[in-house]
Amino acid sequence: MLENVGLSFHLLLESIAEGKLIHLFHQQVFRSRLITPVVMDLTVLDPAQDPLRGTECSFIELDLDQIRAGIYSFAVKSRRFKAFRNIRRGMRGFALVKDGRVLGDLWCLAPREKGRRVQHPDLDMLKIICAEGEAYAQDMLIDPAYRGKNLAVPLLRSLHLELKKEGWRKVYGCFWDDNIPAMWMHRMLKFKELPKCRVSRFFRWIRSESQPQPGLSADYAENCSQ
Amino acid sequence: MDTKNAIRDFITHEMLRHALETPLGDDDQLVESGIIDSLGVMTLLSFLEERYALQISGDDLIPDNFSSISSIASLVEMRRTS
Repeated sequence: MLENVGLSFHLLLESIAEGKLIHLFHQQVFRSRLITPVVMDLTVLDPAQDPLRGTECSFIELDLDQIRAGIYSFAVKSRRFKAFRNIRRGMRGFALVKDGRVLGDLWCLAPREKGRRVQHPDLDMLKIICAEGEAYAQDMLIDPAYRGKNLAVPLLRSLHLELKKEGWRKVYGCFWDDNIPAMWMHRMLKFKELPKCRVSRFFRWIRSESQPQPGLSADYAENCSQ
Repeated sequence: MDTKNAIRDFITHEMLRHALETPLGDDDQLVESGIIDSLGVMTLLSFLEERYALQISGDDLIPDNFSSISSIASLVEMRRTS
């Protein structure tokens, strides 16, 4: 409860400070926005690759005790509250850190207890049903001071390799079609794109309709993970 | 100024954070080298759409289309004629 209050308060403050209050509102109320679900086959990834080479960052899994102890600081305050809330809800958080500062974080439903199927309201919206061995990653944020430094791809790829090591076979995700940087990042990593959904939202009320298959070039689609 | 030189000029002066010893070649790898990243592609997209009065769709936003000055110029020419 307190995390939700703290989260909402800091989100509001951050939006006002960045002049993005309208943007915050439009994340909760919008009509007919396209979202593309994506999937990555983890079994085809080369486990020996080093996505962090040249970044001077470490990839860690966020831990409540370490966050409470202040071992890792979040430049974006709302993310600290989100970390508390998400971890208590059973999500796993992963981050790139440097000198104790979280440069980017990303959230994932990949329960350590095997045999549990992943469920999340987003998956209903995306028309995805996760089978056993299939995880869902969402909500990546890079510290604004570190944007444009090619950290998003290493963060997401590091998560993929970690999940692969744990035995996960696939990870789902998504990007809004009007979020060009997110679209670019997923295409750089060669995610397979699934049928888009057209989504309308009024706060907690969400309506989602599947759309025809995306019209990417045949070569690009063929090279994406199966 | 032809398309390739206009794109080269824009990337060199508006997107690169450091001076180059030699000018960007037509086939230099812009995505692999990190010159075009997720934020850079947005900046470049705005430039292309405004300069050439065209619409680049989401389906065109694949790394292969932006891998080099040559490929970007090809994309622009394709969209101008379609």
